[in-house]
Amino acid sequence: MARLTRLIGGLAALFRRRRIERELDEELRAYLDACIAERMRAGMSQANAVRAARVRMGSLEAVKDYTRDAGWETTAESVGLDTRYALRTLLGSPRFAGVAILMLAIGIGANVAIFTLVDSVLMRALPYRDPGRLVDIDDIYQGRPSGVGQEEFLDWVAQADLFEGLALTDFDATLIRPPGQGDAERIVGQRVSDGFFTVLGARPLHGRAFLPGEDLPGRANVVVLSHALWRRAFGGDPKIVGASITLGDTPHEVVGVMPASFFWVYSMGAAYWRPLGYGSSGRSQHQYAAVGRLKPGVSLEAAQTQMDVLARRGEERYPDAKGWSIRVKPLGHFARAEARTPVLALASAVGLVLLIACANVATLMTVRMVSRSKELAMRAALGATRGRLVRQLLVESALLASMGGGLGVILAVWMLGSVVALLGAGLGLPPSVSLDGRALGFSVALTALTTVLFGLVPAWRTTRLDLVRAFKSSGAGATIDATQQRFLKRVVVAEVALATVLLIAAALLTTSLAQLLSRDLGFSREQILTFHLQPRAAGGAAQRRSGFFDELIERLNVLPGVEAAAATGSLPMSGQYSGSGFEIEGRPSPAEWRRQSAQYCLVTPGYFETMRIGVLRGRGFARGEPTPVVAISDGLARLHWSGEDPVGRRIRGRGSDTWVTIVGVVSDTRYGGPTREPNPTIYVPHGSAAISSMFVAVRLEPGMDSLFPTIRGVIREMDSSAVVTRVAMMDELAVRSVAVQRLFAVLLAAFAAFAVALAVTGIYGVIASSVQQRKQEMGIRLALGAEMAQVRNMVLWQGVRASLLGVGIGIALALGLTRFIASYLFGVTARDPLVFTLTPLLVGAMALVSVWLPARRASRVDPAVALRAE
Amino acid sequence: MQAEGRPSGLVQGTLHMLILKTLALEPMHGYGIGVRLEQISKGVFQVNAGSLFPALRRLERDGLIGGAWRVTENNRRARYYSLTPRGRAKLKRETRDWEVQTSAIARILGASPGEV
Repeated sequence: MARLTRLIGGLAALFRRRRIERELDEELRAYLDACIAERMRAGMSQANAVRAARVRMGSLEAVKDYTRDAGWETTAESVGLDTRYALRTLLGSPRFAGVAILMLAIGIGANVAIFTLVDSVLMRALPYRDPGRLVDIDDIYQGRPSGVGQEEFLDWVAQADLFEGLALTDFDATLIRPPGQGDAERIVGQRVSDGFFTVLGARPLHGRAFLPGEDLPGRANVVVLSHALWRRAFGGDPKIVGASITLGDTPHEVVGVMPASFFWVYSMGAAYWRPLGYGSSGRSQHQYAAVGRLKPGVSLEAAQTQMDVLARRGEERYPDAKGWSIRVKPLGHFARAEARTPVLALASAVGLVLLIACANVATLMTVRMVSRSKELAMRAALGATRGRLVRQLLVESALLASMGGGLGVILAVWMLGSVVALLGAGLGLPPSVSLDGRALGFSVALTALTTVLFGLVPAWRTTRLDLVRAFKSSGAGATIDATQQRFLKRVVVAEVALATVLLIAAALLTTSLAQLLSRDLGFSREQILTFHLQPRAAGGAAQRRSGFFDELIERLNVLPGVEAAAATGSLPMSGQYSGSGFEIEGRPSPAEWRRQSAQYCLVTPGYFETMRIGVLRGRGFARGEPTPVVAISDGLARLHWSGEDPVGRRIRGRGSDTWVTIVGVVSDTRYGGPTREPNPTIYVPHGSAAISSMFVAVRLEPGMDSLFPTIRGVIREMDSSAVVTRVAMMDELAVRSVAVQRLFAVLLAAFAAFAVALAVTGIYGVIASSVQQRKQEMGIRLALGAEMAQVRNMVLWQGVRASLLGVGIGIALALGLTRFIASYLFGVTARDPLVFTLTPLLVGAMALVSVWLPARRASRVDPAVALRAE
Repeated sequence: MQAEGRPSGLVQGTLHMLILKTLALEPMHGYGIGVRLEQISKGVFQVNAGSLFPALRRLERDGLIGGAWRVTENNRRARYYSLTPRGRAKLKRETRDWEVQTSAIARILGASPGEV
């Protein structure tokens, strides 16, 4: 309360300063008058009374000063004066100010951008009501989370009474043709059980969530749209609720639109949600993700215990459930685990960059303040206390930092924009990452911190003034004394060390990225055009569908510019995957299908040739195989027929009664992209199974990259309403599949480059200022007969020693730190000897160059000029 | 140079209390307060302008006293200060605290060896 009145009084005083001054004047005059009057009453003459009263009163100005100081506003006022003064001094040296502000802006900007990432990916609570009560429930098989089954889930709903609600979700994708836009677009969404939104406690922005029972088979088709899809495809029109839209081939009624802040952790970019419509997938199909809301007061342990009971009950009742257990854990950001390392590594990197920037600005400040030592001495001589001088210098630092911070926020918006754009859904960012109040608060805090970091130490050191010396030193006498020189060198050593750490980390990640990009995928990715094709003629007989693709491939194969073409059910790096169990003739099957399972890949006969997947044994597929055959990948052969020749053996799908013969073994492919290991795969020739849509891969002859329109024409001719999506070149897909690694490497490399540039300018600045200071000494040395080379080497050695020390410390630090990014390194270890040799050499070489210039200048000092200067 | 005429922390706090006490009797102008303090304390406290006016300014800022311009007995304008209700409450509290403290100190200082 008292504080508030003081604040208001101070503010009022600031605005009514003149009146208050006048009143103070008048009051003091009244005081003096009363004083005089009393003395005259006591019998003094007027002259004596006036003198006595004056003596009693003391200096009028001093009294006024003390009285003014009683409030806080005078301090504020003098800070205002300091600010104005600081602004003038900074404007007086725009080059210094510009460089300092720019360094700080990049440092602060990078930190704010990365902070926003850290905040939204790692720290922000999930956008659900009371997220602490939400749990992720998953089946565990052989220690691995393996997905939940439908029937099992329904058992839980019936029996688990510690939960307020349970929901099941599944990956879904469909085609949408937004009104007024020609081509159909493939969108990814989720199929969810009826209670999904209720369990999460998320309310739609418009319309409603799903009704109980709406997820049962045979109900009307309804859909809830994400905010993003609603805005993009339907212009954000609220009237869309109740309207009918076509997803794939079926009309759906839009019943709701979710708010922009909503996302589902297991599918950040989900564009829509539709009811699950339980099928008859059987108990062995584990593919769903389950989420539950605990009743208030129910502990995680209690829920786990209940689910353990249910798992045991399941094991007793169903043989398929043997060996499965259920795990309950707090619902976390799916991306958190994935993004943790890169985001934290980037956060540390930008932290280091800011530290280096601060160190650099601190050296600049020191050099600058030394050249102002006379001014400071003058102020001290006129009565300024050391605290007052420090305050004035700090105001200057704060001003620099605020300008840097302001510019930094602008930079941060730009950086964040490009990071989010580059990442796409790669890092699993929520759709609405943007700079907000928290980030702004962070940048203000950071600005204050940098002020202290780069301002306080130089201010404190330079105000430790020796007045006599400061005045005695004449002319250009602004010199840096030995302690300051030592301080500057230490700062430079630290800068070089930190920059070395960053550069080593960046080099490791870049090497790893290069390794990834050149990794053998098991097929040749160059010159392959791919797209997904869904003919409208679908819905006819299986034979007819197969005929469509066979005919298409035939027509594409004869197209000029096409080397080979093939269709497949699942293309590498398409994200589409279907695995299933199989049995081997003459061998007992394991009770659990996962133990003997493989990825199934439906392909047209030319697939291996088109993709250039090598046939290692046996043969590939021929057109119109008379009997059912398959080919298997080398990995699968090694897994189940090690030492034997699988060609000629027979296998069959789990639950099928037809044995099929293995006719060939082909080389492994990294189906999931460069970062993944190859999946054991069974290739099934197209024709023996029906499929409504397929990927098409076309190997183009060199220089025929623009053949797609022609291909599109061929497809139109065959089926004018066929839907073509996901058109891409295979090598593009490969690059896209390492987007996270790429972004990580690129950002870190950029930060490292900036850090090294800062460190090198730091070295240059410090050595140059030392040369400037020792000019006279150099002149004497030269005059006394020292060789130019000797003087040059002396300076050179000075800088090289500091850099070597820094590089050495940097290597030691990096040896300890790089293991934190080890899981992101492919084909290179966290202590790769080559990187650890070349990177420090590079830093050392750059440091040498930056020392060379001032060293050469030192050796060219004209003794006569240097000696006369004093 | 700076310290001259400026009351120390202890005296400053006491000065505030004494001013409040003085004003509890009747509204007074600055000079009057100084004289009254000197009179009551029988010359022990000599309050000069350099301590008095900052103290008045602070008390006014904190809302413990209020000032108003009035005409003095010898027809001059002067700023008369009077206690606000908050100032009165504060004085009451401080006086009580002071009494508790001083009596405690007096007991300690006056204690004979046997009592301690």
